[in-house]
Amino acid sequence: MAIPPTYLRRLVGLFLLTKALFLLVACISGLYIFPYVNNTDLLLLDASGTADAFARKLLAPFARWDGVYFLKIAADGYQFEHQHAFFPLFPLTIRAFAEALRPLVCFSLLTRCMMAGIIMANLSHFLTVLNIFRYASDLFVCPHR
Amino acid sequence: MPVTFLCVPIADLPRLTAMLSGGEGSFAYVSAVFALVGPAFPFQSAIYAESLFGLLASTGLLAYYNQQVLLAALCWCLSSLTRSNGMLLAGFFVHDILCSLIQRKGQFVSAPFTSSLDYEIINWP
Repeated sequence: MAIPPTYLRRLVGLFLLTKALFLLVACISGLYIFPYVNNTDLLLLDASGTADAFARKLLAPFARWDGVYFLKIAADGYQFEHQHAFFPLFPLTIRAFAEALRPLVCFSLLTRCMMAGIIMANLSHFLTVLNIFRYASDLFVCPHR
Repeated sequence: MPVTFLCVPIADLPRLTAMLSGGEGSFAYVSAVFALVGPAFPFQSAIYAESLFGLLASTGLLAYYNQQVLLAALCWCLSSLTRSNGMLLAGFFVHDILCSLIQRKGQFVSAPFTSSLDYEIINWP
């Protein structure tokens, strides 16, 4: 079922508002607050330039905990045994998207993977929301088909 | 941090509640809002597999409800490649198979979800 334009506009607005607030707070906290987990610092080590280093520091809050593993798998593949706890489809899609961002030459592969991962995650979240809307509409219109 | 961002929909809750009885679209809208802003919001914004998993699982659910069984199977197969939880989605198939088996024994069982698998079995060449 198609989503009525009124609801679509409301959902897009709410999505953009909440995500913008979240991204803003996360980026600011990443710049000024010392992280509870420091394994993300590994991602900051081999930046290829000033812009690359700044982008990594800015995006680091989105790559904490499991995010580090997903990024390392996306950039370098499975290298260590414990990485196999993380399933391959998400790193594969990140890598594919990062390759599409290759024209951004001032950023290294790992930084592009960070950008791709954030875009992928948020885009998927929005499409999930639309799916839930469609599913709920179908259930309401024709329940227990 | 999630509390900060929950404030936005919470401020909107009275209006959302009023809309619940408003019509079919508003029910779906409230469902979508809860799917958008929930406890998992930070995970669905960061570099985690939850979002992709949610997309594949919900696409499969939608396809299954519309009796597109193969598409649902494909989506849930891909969701299993994203997170191990995806394997549990096979439970929808198992549920429908069990329902159809019990129905054939002459017992009354309502199939609360969909009888798409039963449909496929009946129409098997």
